[in-house]
Amino acid sequence: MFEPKIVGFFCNWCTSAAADLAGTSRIQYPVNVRPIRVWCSGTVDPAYIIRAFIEGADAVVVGGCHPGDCHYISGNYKARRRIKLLKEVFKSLGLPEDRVYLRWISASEGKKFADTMHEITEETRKKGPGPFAGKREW
Amino acid sequence: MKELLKGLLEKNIVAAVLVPAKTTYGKVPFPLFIKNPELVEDADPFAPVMPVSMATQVSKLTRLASPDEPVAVVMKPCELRALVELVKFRQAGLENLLIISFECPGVFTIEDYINVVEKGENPIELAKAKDGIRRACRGCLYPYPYAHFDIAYSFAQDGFYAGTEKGRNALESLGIEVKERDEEAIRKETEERRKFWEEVRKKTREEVYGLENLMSFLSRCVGCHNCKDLCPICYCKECFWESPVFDYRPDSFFDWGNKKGGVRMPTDIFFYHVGRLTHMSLSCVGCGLCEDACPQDIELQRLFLHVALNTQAAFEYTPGLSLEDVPPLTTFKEEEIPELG
Repeated sequence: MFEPKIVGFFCNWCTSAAADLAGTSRIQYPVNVRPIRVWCSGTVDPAYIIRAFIEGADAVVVGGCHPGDCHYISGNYKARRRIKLLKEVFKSLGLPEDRVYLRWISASEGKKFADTMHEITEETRKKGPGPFAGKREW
Repeated sequence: MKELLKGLLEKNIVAAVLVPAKTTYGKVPFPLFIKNPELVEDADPFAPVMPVSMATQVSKLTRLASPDEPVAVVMKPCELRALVELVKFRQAGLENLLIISFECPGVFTIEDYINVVEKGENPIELAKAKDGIRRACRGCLYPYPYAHFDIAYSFAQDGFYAGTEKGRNALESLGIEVKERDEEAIRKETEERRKFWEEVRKKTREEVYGLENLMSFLSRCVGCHNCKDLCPICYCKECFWESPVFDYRPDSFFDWGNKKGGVRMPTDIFFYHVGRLTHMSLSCVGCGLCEDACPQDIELQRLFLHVALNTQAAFEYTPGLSLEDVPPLTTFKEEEIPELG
Protein backbone atom coordinates (compact mmCIF):
# COMPACT_ATOMS: atom_id res chain seq x y z
CA MET A 1 0.00 0.00 0.00
CA PHE A 2 1.12 3.56 -0.76
CA GLU A 3 2.53 5.25 2.33
CA PRO A 4 2.92 8.98 1.69
CA LYS A 5 6.11 10.74 2.67
CA ILE A 6 5.38 14.19 4.03
CA VAL A 7 8.08 16.72 4.79
CA GLY A 8 7.22 19.23 7.49
CA PHE A 9 9.04 22.50 8.06
CA PHE A 10 7.98 23.49 11.56
CA CYS A 11 9.00 26.64 13.34
CA ASN A 12 10.96 26.27 16.54
CA TRP A 13 8.64 28.29 18.72
CA CYS A 14 5.17 27.09 17.90
CA THR A 15 4.63 24.14 15.61
CA SER A 16 7.75 22.20 16.69
CA ALA A 17 6.78 22.79 20.30
CA ALA A 18 3.29 21.53 19.43
CA ALA A 19 4.87 18.39 17.99
CA ASP A 20 6.74 17.92 21.26
CA LEU A 21 3.57 18.50 23.22
CA ALA A 22 1.77 15.89 21.15
CA GLY A 23 4.62 13.51 22.01
CA THR A 24 4.72 14.18 25.74
CA SER A 25 0.93 14.03 25.83
CA ARG A 26 1.13 10.60 24.14
CA ILE A 27 -1.04 11.76 21.25
CA GLN A 28 -0.27 9.59 18.24
CA TYR A 29 0.41 11.15 14.86
CA PRO A 30 1.36 9.40 11.62
CA VAL A 31 5.01 8.49 11.07
CA ASN A 32 4.54 9.60 7.46
CA VAL A 33 5.41 13.12 8.55
CA ARG A 34 9.15 13.87 8.69
CA PRO A 35 9.50 17.01 10.78
CA ILE A 36 12.32 19.46 10.14
CA ARG A 37 12.72 22.13 12.77
CA VAL A 38 13.42 25.61 11.42
CA TRP A 39 13.76 28.79 13.43
CA CYS A 40 10.78 30.44 11.78
CA SER A 41 8.26 29.63 9.05
CA GLY A 42 9.54 32.84 7.45
CA THR A 43 12.91 31.19 6.79
CA VAL A 44 11.44 28.57 4.48
CA ASP A 45 12.40 29.64 0.98
CA PRO A 46 10.19 28.02 -1.66
CA ALA A 47 13.40 26.38 -2.88
CA TYR A 48 13.35 23.97 0.07
CA ILE A 49 9.78 23.01 -0.67
CA ILE A 50 10.53 22.36 -4.34
CA ARG A 51 13.60 20.39 -3.34
CA ALA A 52 11.55 18.27 -0.93
CA PHE A 53 9.26 17.28 -3.81
CA ILE A 54 12.22 16.45 -5.99
CA GLU A 55 13.67 14.29 -3.24
CA GLY A 56 10.47 12.30 -3.12
CA ALA A 57 8.05 14.12 -0.83
CA ASP A 58 4.39 13.50 -1.64
CA ALA A 59 3.33 16.62 0.29
CA VAL A 60 5.05 19.43 2.13
CA VAL A 61 3.65 21.22 5.15
CA VAL A 62 4.98 24.46 6.60
CA GLY A 63 3.92 25.07 10.17
CA GLY A 64 4.23 28.39 11.99
CA CYS A 65 2.84 30.46 14.83
CA HIS A 66 -0.63 31.93 14.50
CA PRO A 67 -0.78 35.36 12.83
CA GLY A 68 0.15 37.95 15.42
CA ASP A 69 2.06 35.40 17.54
CA CYS A 70 5.30 35.06 15.58
CA HIS A 71 8.34 34.88 17.85
CA TYR A 72 10.06 37.15 15.32
CA ILE A 73 7.00 39.39 15.07
CA SER A 74 6.28 39.03 11.35
CA GLY A 75 8.01 35.91 9.96
CA ASN A 76 4.78 34.01 9.53
CA TYR A 77 3.23 36.83 7.49
CA LYS A 78 6.21 36.63 5.16
CA ALA A 79 5.88 32.86 5.02
CA ARG A 80 2.26 33.27 4.00
CA ARG A 81 3.23 35.48 1.06
CA ARG A 82 5.98 33.06 -0.02
CA ILE A 83 3.63 30.10 0.03
CA LYS A 84 1.05 32.06 -1.94
CA LEU A 85 3.74 32.91 -4.49
CA LEU A 86 4.90 29.30 -4.78
CA LYS A 87 1.32 28.14 -5.22
CA GLU A 88 0.78 30.69 -7.99
CA VAL A 89 3.90 29.46 -9.81
CA PHE A 90 2.72 25.86 -9.41
CA LYS A 91 -0.80 26.73 -10.60
CA SER A 92 0.55 28.48 -13.69
CA LEU A 93 2.56 25.40 -14.60
CA GLY A 94 -0.07 22.81 -13.76
CA LEU A 95 1.97 21.48 -10.83
CA PRO A 96 0.29 20.08 -7.69
CA GLU A 97 -0.08 23.20 -5.57
CA ASP A 98 -2.61 21.34 -3.43
CA ARG A 99 0.26 19.29 -2.00
CA VAL A 100 1.72 22.39 -0.38
CA TYR A 101 0.20 23.12 3.03
CA LEU A 102 0.56 26.05 5.39
CA ARG A 103 -0.77 25.60 8.92
CA TRP A 104 -0.71 27.74 12.04
CA ILE A 105 -0.25 25.56 15.12
CA SER A 106 0.72 27.10 18.45
CA ALA A 107 2.91 25.55 21.14
CA SER A 108 -0.17 24.64 23.18
CA GLU A 109 -1.96 22.87 20.33
CA GLY A 110 -0.54 19.34 20.58
CA LYS A 111 -3.90 17.86 19.70
CA LYS A 112 -4.32 20.18 16.72
CA PHE A 113 -0.84 19.23 15.53
CA ALA A 114 -1.69 15.53 15.59
CA ASP A 115 -5.10 16.10 13.95
CA THR A 116 -3.54 18.23 11.20
CA MET A 117 -0.90 15.61 10.43
CA HIS A 118 -3.60 12.93 10.26
CA GLU A 119 -5.63 15.10 7.92
CA ILE A 120 -2.71 15.85 5.59
CA THR A 121 -1.54 12.24 5.59
CA GLU A 122 -4.98 10.93 4.68
CA GLU A 123 -5.48 13.54 1.98
CA THR A 124 -2.12 12.72 0.47
CA ARG A 125 -2.78 9.00 0.66
CA LYS A 126 -5.89 9.59 -1.46
CA LYS A 127 -4.00 11.75 -3.95
CA GLY A 128 -1.32 9.13 -4.48
CA PRO A 129 2.41 9.55 -5.12
CA GLY A 130 3.93 13.02 -5.55
CA PRO A 131 5.03 14.66 -8.80
CA PHE A 132 8.51 13.17 -9.01
CA ALA A 133 7.72 9.60 -7.99
CA GLY A 134 9.52 7.28 -10.41
CA LYS A 135 10.90 10.24 -12.41
CA ARG A 136 14.57 10.23 -13.31
CA GLU A 137 14.68 13.80 -14.57
CA TRP A 138 14.16 16.99 -12.66
CA MET B 1 19.43 62.38 -30.18
CA LYS B 2 23.15 62.73 -30.75
CA GLU B 3 22.76 66.52 -30.86
CA LEU B 4 20.91 66.33 -27.55
CA LEU B 5 23.64 64.25 -25.93
CA LYS B 6 26.38 66.44 -27.30
CA GLY B 7 24.56 69.58 -26.18
CA LEU B 8 24.05 68.18 -22.69
CA LEU B 9 27.77 67.54 -22.40
CA GLU B 10 28.94 70.78 -23.96
CA LYS B 11 26.61 72.93 -21.89
CA ASN B 12 27.67 71.03 -18.78
CA ILE B 13 24.12 69.99 -18.03
CA VAL B 14 25.59 66.54 -17.53
CA ALA B 15 29.17 65.50 -16.95
CA ALA B 16 28.90 62.20 -18.76
CA VAL B 17 26.51 60.16 -20.86
CA LEU B 18 25.89 56.43 -20.90
CA VAL B 19 24.57 55.29 -24.26
CA PRO B 20 24.83 52.36 -26.67
CA ALA B 21 27.70 53.10 -29.04
CA LYS B 22 29.98 51.61 -31.64
CA THR B 23 32.67 49.42 -30.15
CA THR B 24 36.22 49.31 -31.43
CA TYR B 25 36.17 45.65 -32.26
CA GLY B 26 32.71 44.54 -33.32
CA LYS B 27 29.46 45.33 -35.07
CA VAL B 28 27.20 45.23 -32.04
CA PRO B 29 26.83 48.47 -30.07
CA PHE B 30 27.42 48.23 -26.33
CA PRO B 31 26.85 50.80 -23.58
CA LEU B 32 29.61 53.38 -23.60
CA PHE B 33 30.31 55.72 -20.70
CA ILE B 34 31.27 58.96 -22.43
CA LYS B 35 33.07 61.96 -20.96
CA ASN B 36 34.51 63.43 -24.13
CA PRO B 37 31.74 65.10 -26.22
CA GLU B 38 33.54 64.09 -29.42
CA LEU B 39 32.87 60.44 -28.64
CA VAL B 40 29.13 61.10 -28.94
CA GLU B 41 29.74 60.64 -32.69
CA ASP B 42 30.13 56.92 -31.95
CA ALA B 43 26.80 56.75 -30.13
CA ASP B 44 24.11 54.57 -31.64
CA PRO B 45 21.31 55.35 -29.17
CA PHE B 46 18.47 53.67 -31.06
CA ALA B 47 20.38 50.62 -32.31
CA PRO B 48 17.72 47.91 -32.21
CA VAL B 49 19.82 45.37 -30.38
CA MET B 50 20.28 44.69 -26.66
CA PRO B 51 23.32 42.57 -25.85
CA VAL B 52 23.05 43.49 -22.16
CA SER B 53 20.56 45.44 -20.10
CA MET B 54 21.37 49.10 -19.54
CA ALA B 55 19.70 48.68 -16.15
CA THR B 56 22.55 46.42 -15.08
CA GLN B 57 25.10 49.00 -16.24
CA VAL B 58 23.32 51.79 -14.35
CA SER B 59 23.46 49.57 -11.28
CA LYS B 60 27.22 49.28 -11.72
CA LEU B 61 27.43 53.05 -11.94
CA THR B 62 25.19 53.90 -9.00
CA ARG B 63 25.01 51.00 -6.56
CA LEU B 64 27.88 51.87 -4.25
CA ALA B 65 27.21 55.60 -4.32
CA SER B 66 25.41 58.19 -6.42
CA PRO B 67 27.61 59.75 -9.06
CA ASP B 68 29.01 63.11 -7.94
CA GLU B 69 28.09 64.73 -11.22
CA PRO B 70 25.00 64.30 -13.39
CA VAL B 71 24.99 61.51 -15.96
CA ALA B 72 22.57 61.19 -18.87
CA VAL B 73 21.54 57.60 -19.59
CA VAL B 74 19.78 56.42 -22.73
CA MET B 75 17.58 53.44 -21.96
CA LYS B 76 14.99 51.32 -23.70
CA PRO B 77 11.64 51.22 -21.88
CA CYS B 78 12.18 47.65 -20.62
CA GLU B 79 15.61 48.60 -19.33
CA LEU B 80 14.07 51.52 -17.50
CA ARG B 81 11.45 49.28 -15.93
CA ALA B 82 14.16 46.87 -14.82
CA LEU B 83 16.07 49.82 -13.36
CA VAL B 84 13.03 50.88 -11.34
CA GLU B 85 12.94 47.39 -9.83
CA LEU B 86 16.67 47.52 -9.05
CA VAL B 87 16.21 50.87 -7.31
CA LYS B 88 13.48 49.34 -5.13
CA PHE B 89 15.91 46.61 -4.11
CA ARG B 90 18.61 49.21 -3.42
CA GLN B 91 20.79 47.95 -6.23
CA ALA B 92 20.81 51.26 -8.10
CA GLY B 93 19.95 54.88 -7.54
CA LEU B 94 18.34 57.55 -9.67
CA GLU B 95 20.09 60.47 -8.02
CA ASN B 96 22.09 62.61 -10.45
CA LEU B 97 20.77 60.68 -13.44
CA LEU B 98 19.07 62.28 -16.40
CA ILE B 99 17.09 59.43 -17.90
CA ILE B 100 16.41 59.57 -21.59
CA SER B 101 14.16 56.91 -23.06
CA PHE B 102 12.25 56.44 -26.27
CA GLU B 103 9.26 54.73 -27.83
CA CYS B 104 11.01 51.50 -28.70
CA PRO B 105 10.20 49.67 -31.92
CA GLY B 106 11.88 46.51 -30.58
CA VAL B 107 15.24 44.88 -31.09
CA PHE B 108 16.82 42.08 -33.09
CA THR B 109 18.73 39.20 -31.61
CA ILE B 110 22.47 39.82 -31.81
CA GLU B 111 22.78 37.35 -34.66
CA ASP B 112 19.93 38.88 -36.64
CA TYR B 113 21.25 42.36 -36.02
CA ILE B 114 24.67 41.47 -37.42
CA ASN B 115 23.03 39.88 -40.46
CA VAL B 116 20.96 42.98 -41.12
CA VAL B 117 23.98 45.25 -40.80
CA GLU B 118 26.12 43.04 -43.00
CA LYS B 119 23.44 43.08 -45.69
CA GLY B 120 23.71 46.87 -45.62
CA GLU B 121 20.12 47.33 -44.52
CA ASN B 122 18.94 49.93 -42.02
CA PRO B 123 18.16 48.08 -38.79
CA ILE B 124 16.10 50.89 -37.28
CA GLU B 125 13.80 51.13 -40.30
CA LEU B 126 13.33 47.35 -40.29
CA ALA B 127 12.61 47.38 -36.56
CA LYS B 128 10.04 50.12 -37.03
CA ALA B 129 8.33 47.92 -39.60
CA LYS B 130 8.51 45.07 -37.02
CA ASP B 131 10.45 43.13 -39.63
CA GLY B 132 12.45 40.44 -37.86
CA ILE B 133 12.51 41.85 -34.34
CA ARG B 134 12.45 39.48 -31.38
CA ARG B 135 9.20 37.76 -30.42
CA ALA B 136 9.53 39.30 -26.95
CA CYS B 137 9.50 42.77 -28.53
CA ARG B 138 6.58 42.02 -30.86
CA GLY B 139 4.59 41.20 -27.74
CA CYS B 140 6.04 43.95 -25.53
CA LEU B 141 3.50 45.09 -22.93
CA TYR B 142 5.05 48.56 -22.46
CA PRO B 143 6.86 49.61 -25.65
CA TYR B 144 7.02 53.18 -24.39
CA PRO B 145 8.60 54.83 -21.34
CA TYR B 146 5.98 54.63 -18.61
CA ALA B 147 7.40 56.73 -15.79
CA HIS B 148 10.63 57.85 -14.14
CA PHE B 149 12.09 59.24 -17.36
CA ASP B 150 13.16 62.84 -17.77
CA ILE B 151 13.16 63.00 -21.55
CA ALA B 152 11.68 60.69 -24.16
CA TYR B 153 12.01 60.50 -27.93
CA SER B 154 9.22 59.51 -30.28
CA PHE B 155 9.98 58.24 -33.78
CA ALA B 156 6.40 58.91 -34.85
CA GLN B 157 6.64 62.55 -33.80
CA ASP B 158 10.32 62.81 -34.66
CA GLY B 159 10.85 64.78 -31.49
CA PHE B 160 11.25 64.86 -27.75
CA TYR B 161 8.84 65.24 -24.90
CA ALA B 162 9.56 65.71 -21.22
CA GLY B 163 8.68 63.45 -18.31
CA THR B 164 9.88 65.79 -15.59
CA GLU B 165 10.64 69.45 -15.03
CA LYS B 166 14.32 68.56 -15.07
CA GLY B 167 13.93 67.05 -18.51
CA ARG B 168 11.91 70.00 -19.80
CA ASN B 169 14.51 72.44 -18.54
CA ALA B 170 17.31 70.48 -20.17
CA LEU B 171 15.51 70.44 -23.53
CA GLU B 172 14.62 74.12 -23.34
CA SER B 173 18.10 75.22 -22.38
CA LEU B 174 19.37 73.48 -25.52
CA GLY B 175 16.70 75.13 -27.63
CA ILE B 176 15.09 71.80 -28.49
CA GLU B 177 11.36 71.85 -29.09
CA VAL B 178 9.39 70.11 -26.33
CA LYS B 179 6.50 68.19 -27.84
CA GLU B 180 3.42 66.74 -26.20
CA ARG B 181 3.33 62.99 -25.90
CA ASP B 182 0.88 61.39 -28.33
CA GLU B 183 -1.03 59.17 -25.91
CA GLU B 184 -3.41 57.91 -28.59
CA ALA B 185 -0.60 56.65 -30.82
CA ILE B 186 1.02 54.95 -27.84
CA ARG B 187 -2.23 53.30 -26.84
CA LYS B 188 -2.76 51.94 -30.34
CA GLU B 189 0.77 50.60 -30.67
CA THR B 190 0.65 49.04 -27.22
CA GLU B 191 -2.68 47.41 -27.89
CA GLU B 192 -1.35 45.78 -31.03
CA ARG B 193 1.68 44.39 -29.24
CA ARG B 194 -0.39 43.15 -26.32
CA LYS B 195 -2.67 41.33 -28.72
CA PHE B 196 0.36 39.60 -30.19
CA TRP B 197 1.50 38.62 -26.69
CA GLU B 198 -1.93 37.23 -25.82
CA GLU B 199 -1.64 34.85 -28.78
CA VAL B 200 1.84 33.82 -27.69
CA ARG B 201 0.64 33.36 -24.15
CA LYS B 202 -2.29 31.19 -25.14
CA LYS B 203 0.05 28.83 -26.92
CA THR B 204 2.59 28.96 -24.09
CA ARG B 205 0.05 28.19 -21.39
CA GLU B 206 -0.72 24.86 -23.05
CA GLU B 207 2.88 24.07 -23.92
CA VAL B 208 4.16 24.37 -20.37
CA TYR B 209 1.16 23.10 -18.43
CA GLY B 210 1.86 20.00 -16.37
CA LEU B 211 5.15 18.45 -15.38
CA GLU B 212 5.49 16.41 -18.58
CA ASN B 213 4.94 19.43 -20.83
CA LEU B 214 7.17 21.68 -18.79
CA MET B 215 10.00 19.16 -18.81
CA SER B 216 9.67 18.79 -22.58
CA PHE B 217 9.82 22.56 -22.96
CA LEU B 218 13.00 22.66 -20.87
CA SER B 219 14.44 19.38 -22.12
CA ARG B 220 17.41 20.95 -23.91
CA CYS B 221 18.51 22.94 -20.84
CA VAL B 222 22.17 22.36 -20.04
CA GLY B 223 21.97 24.10 -16.67
CA CYS B 224 24.42 26.88 -17.58
CA HIS B 225 22.38 29.52 -15.72
CA ASN B 226 23.14 32.13 -18.39
CA CYS B 227 19.48 33.17 -18.22
CA LYS B 228 19.96 34.42 -14.68
CA ASP B 229 23.37 35.95 -15.45
CA LEU B 230 21.86 38.22 -18.10
CA CYS B 231 18.60 38.83 -16.22
CA PRO B 232 18.56 42.47 -15.10
CA ILE B 233 16.46 41.53 -12.08
CA CYS B 234 18.80 38.82 -10.78
CA TYR B 235 21.16 41.00 -8.78
CA CYS B 236 22.30 38.60 -6.05
CA LYS B 237 26.06 38.36 -5.79
CA GLU B 238 25.75 34.75 -4.73
CA CYS B 239 22.94 32.94 -6.44
CA PHE B 240 20.90 30.71 -4.16
CA TRP B 241 20.62 28.14 -6.96
CA GLU B 242 24.36 27.88 -7.22
CA SER B 243 25.02 27.67 -3.50
CA PRO B 244 26.54 24.50 -2.05
CA VAL B 245 23.38 24.12 0.06
CA PHE B 246 21.89 22.28 -2.87
CA ASP B 247 24.83 20.06 -3.80
CA TYR B 248 24.26 16.34 -3.57
CA ARG B 249 26.50 13.78 -1.93
CA PRO B 250 27.42 10.77 -4.05
CA ASP B 251 25.13 8.46 -2.07
CA SER B 252 22.14 10.46 -3.29
CA PHE B 253 22.89 9.30 -6.83
CA PHE B 254 23.16 5.70 -5.69
CA ASP B 255 19.90 6.02 -3.75
CA TRP B 256 18.11 7.36 -6.81
CA GLY B 257 19.74 4.68 -8.91
CA ASN B 258 18.35 2.04 -6.60
CA LYS B 259 14.91 3.62 -6.50
CA LYS B 260 14.49 4.91 -10.03
CA GLY B 261 17.03 2.97 -12.04
CA GLY B 262 18.92 6.10 -13.13
CA VAL B 263 19.15 9.88 -13.02
CA ARG B 264 19.43 12.44 -15.83
CA MET B 265 22.48 14.66 -15.42
CA PRO B 266 22.95 17.49 -14.91
CA THR B 267 20.11 17.39 -12.39
CA ASP B 268 18.01 20.28 -11.10
CA ILE B 269 16.78 21.78 -14.36
CA PHE B 270 13.24 21.89 -12.94
CA PHE B 271 14.53 22.93 -9.54
CA TYR B 272 16.43 25.89 -10.95
CA HIS B 273 13.81 27.26 -13.33
CA VAL B 274 10.73 26.78 -11.17
CA GLY B 275 12.64 27.85 -8.07
CA ARG B 276 14.02 30.93 -9.76
CA LEU B 277 10.49 31.89 -10.77
CA THR B 278 9.66 32.16 -7.07
CA HIS B 279 12.59 34.56 -6.71
CA MET B 280 12.35 36.85 -9.75
CA SER B 281 8.92 36.48 -11.32
CA LEU B 282 7.34 39.29 -9.30
CA SER B 283 9.85 41.72 -10.83
CA CYS B 284 10.07 40.19 -14.32
CA VAL B 285 9.63 42.90 -16.95
CA GLY B 286 9.68 40.47 -19.88
CA CYS B 287 12.75 41.98 -21.56
CA GLY B 288 13.77 38.64 -23.05
CA LEU B 289 17.47 38.71 -22.23
CA CYS B 290 17.06 35.27 -20.61
CA GLU B 291 16.09 33.89 -23.97
CA ASP B 292 18.85 35.73 -25.82
CA ALA B 293 21.33 34.28 -23.35
CA CYS B 294 20.17 30.71 -23.79
CA PRO B 295 22.72 28.67 -25.76
CA GLN B 296 20.04 26.05 -26.38
CA ASP B 297 17.51 28.48 -27.86
CA ILE B 298 14.83 27.65 -25.34
CA GLU B 299 12.08 30.26 -25.62
CA LEU B 300 12.37 31.20 -21.98
CA GLN B 301 10.87 34.67 -22.16
CA ARG B 302 7.38 33.42 -22.92
CA LEU B 303 7.60 30.79 -20.17
CA PHE B 304 8.86 33.25 -17.57
CA LEU B 305 6.57 36.14 -18.51
CA HIS B 306 3.52 33.87 -18.60
CA VAL B 307 4.17 32.69 -15.04
CA ALA B 308 5.29 36.16 -13.94
CA LEU B 309 2.05 37.81 -15.06
CA ASN B 310 0.14 35.30 -12.93
CA THR B 311 2.22 35.85 -9.81
CA GLN B 312 2.16 39.61 -10.33
CA ALA B 313 -1.61 39.56 -10.74
CA ALA B 314 -1.98 37.50 -7.56
CA PHE B 315 -0.27 40.29 -5.64
CA GLU B 316 -1.78 43.11 -7.74
CA TYR B 317 1.72 44.23 -8.56
CA THR B 318 3.19 45.45 -11.84
CA PRO B 319 6.96 45.78 -11.76
CA GLY B 320 8.86 48.71 -13.20
CA LEU B 321 6.06 51.24 -13.37
CA SER B 322 6.41 53.17 -10.16
CA LEU B 323 8.87 53.41 -7.31
CA GLU B 324 5.86 53.78 -5.07
CA ASP B 325 4.73 50.20 -5.72
CA VAL B 326 6.28 48.04 -3.03
CA PRO B 327 7.64 44.62 -4.09
CA PRO B 328 5.21 42.09 -2.60
CA LEU B 329 7.81 39.96 -0.81
CA THR B 330 9.22 42.93 1.06
CA THR B 331 5.98 43.69 2.84
CA PHE B 332 2.80 42.10 4.20
CA LYS B 333 -0.57 42.87 5.68
CA GLU B 334 -1.82 41.29 8.85
CA GLU B 335 -5.21 40.57 7.32
CA GLU B 336 -4.81 38.98 3.89
CA ILE B 337 -4.71 35.73 1.92
CA PRO B 338 -7.63 34.17 3.81
CA GLU B 339 -7.32 30.97 1.75
CA LEU B 340 -4.04 30.22 3.55
CA GLY B 341 -5.37 31.02 7.02
